[in-house]
Amino acid sequence: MDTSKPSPEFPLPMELLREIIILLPPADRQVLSLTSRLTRSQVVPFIFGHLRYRGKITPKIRNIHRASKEVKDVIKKLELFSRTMSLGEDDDSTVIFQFLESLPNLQVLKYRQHEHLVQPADLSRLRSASLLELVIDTGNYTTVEGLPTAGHAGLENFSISWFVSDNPNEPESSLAHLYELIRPSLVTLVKLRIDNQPEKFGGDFDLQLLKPAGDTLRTFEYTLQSSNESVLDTIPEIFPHLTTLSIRWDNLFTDHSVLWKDSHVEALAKNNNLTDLTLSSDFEESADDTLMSEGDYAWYVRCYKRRLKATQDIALACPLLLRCSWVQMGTDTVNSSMLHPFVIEEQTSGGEVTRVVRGMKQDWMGSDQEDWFTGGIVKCKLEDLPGDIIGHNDE
Amino acid sequence: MVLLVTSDNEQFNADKDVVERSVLIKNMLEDVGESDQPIPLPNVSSSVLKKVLEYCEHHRGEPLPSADADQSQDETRKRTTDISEWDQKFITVDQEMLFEIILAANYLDIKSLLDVGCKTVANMIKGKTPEEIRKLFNIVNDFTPEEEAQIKKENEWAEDR
Repeated sequence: MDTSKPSPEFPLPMELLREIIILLPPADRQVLSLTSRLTRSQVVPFIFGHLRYRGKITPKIRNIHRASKEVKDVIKKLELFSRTMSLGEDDDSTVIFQFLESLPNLQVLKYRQHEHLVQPADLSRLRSASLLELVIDTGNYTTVEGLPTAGHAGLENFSISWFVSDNPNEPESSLAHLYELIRPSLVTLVKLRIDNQPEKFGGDFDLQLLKPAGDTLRTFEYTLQSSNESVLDTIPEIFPHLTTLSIRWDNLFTDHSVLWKDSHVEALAKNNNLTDLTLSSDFEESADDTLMSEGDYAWYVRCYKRRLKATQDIALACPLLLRCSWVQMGTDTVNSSMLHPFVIEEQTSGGEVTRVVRGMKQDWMGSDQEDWFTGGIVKCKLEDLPGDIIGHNDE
Repeated sequence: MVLLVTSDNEQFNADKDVVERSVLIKNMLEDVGESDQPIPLPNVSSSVLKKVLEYCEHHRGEPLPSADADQSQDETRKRTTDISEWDQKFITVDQEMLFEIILAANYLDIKSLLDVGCKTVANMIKGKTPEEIRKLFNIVNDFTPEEEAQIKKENEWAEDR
């Protein structure tokens, strides 16, 4: 190979140059991009293919919006996480969506922020034909305005945290807007997450409207504000191919989740392909067993045991289930959540295969704890707890 | 033994389990079946094949990357440009030979050798200025000063700061 003759070209084929670029840290990629046009053309997708902006994002978006077409053409994934919106930056939304409209090959957009910023009408401006994944957080809190606008068509993965309340003059207008945003992608969705938590409860989303997603949908994660347990029956009817299901009931009025009933196992058994399940069911209300103090370890153990038992029942009813987790709300005085994860394994003994539920170590497990009430010991070492827990005791 | 013929018509005899580190040669051997037919390698010169065989001989018996493992291995590769001591010594050659080895590894489909070559070039680039990289690889700067300034700005805009 003759590398003695100066040329704008890199002295290796482009596919090999790309292999080398993969190995370079971002700063060196940027330096390499300054060597020649041809080299830059190969480096640009690595520099700009996946962009992340956090904090005050508007000035950053203003800058990148000034970039060349060559740069905008290679942006495939964009993550925006706005934590603040200063006064005088009311035009954030306009700047951001103008930029988004200029990205012809955007495939993934994750846009999370805490201030009220995104209106449904803004979302309808996303027209990139290549967009496959949209993760959006509408922000805290706002009300819908105007008529519902259609969302993006062709999404495979749509995750929306919906904090938008009804227009005071139009009951159920919030849910109508939410549905219209999801509707155009119903026939392509593989994964759908709806976190429906407006400031003012406007009723439950009518899941029957999502039925056209039944053929393609494999993952459904749903947070609702009521204790509507009928969703357990509705979901397997409208989404018969689910492998992953998560339901979280955040009841605004009772402040606790739906109460677990043994009959829920029958409903869950209708999900024939389920491998991953997460529920926020409440076991403590009906057991009249409430948290007495922060760090009430005896209570933690009782909560764990109830969920272990329920998981064992579900594992028998759902033959493909591999993982089952329980979100337990209100596990301290500031209403934090605790996650109880379990795995289901097949074990062979004497030629017979049985499905065994095993717990996974949680923060409070692994060493004996002091009982706040009696001053005695709460046995929390893994070997002292049921469920053949996966993990190691604390050292 | 397998008989390999290089672009400059030199013949090399090598053990089958050594040359089968090359996916290309392995596939060719499977195609011809049990035969003494020489394997032509029109894209590899004798000096380069000698180095390639030295590499394959040293790594004889090591597990070959499976197709399934490709993705996780790619992730690992992205995180490190570390090269083992022997490989580092092996790849300490002049730049022309380095590129020839990389091209041969790519042609012969020897992923681990290609990795060593690419990591070596990546390590040569790391920490250098654009001018130093141009000088190293004989690249001509075809940007105008205005374009260069614009590119520097664009690169800064990619960063979250």
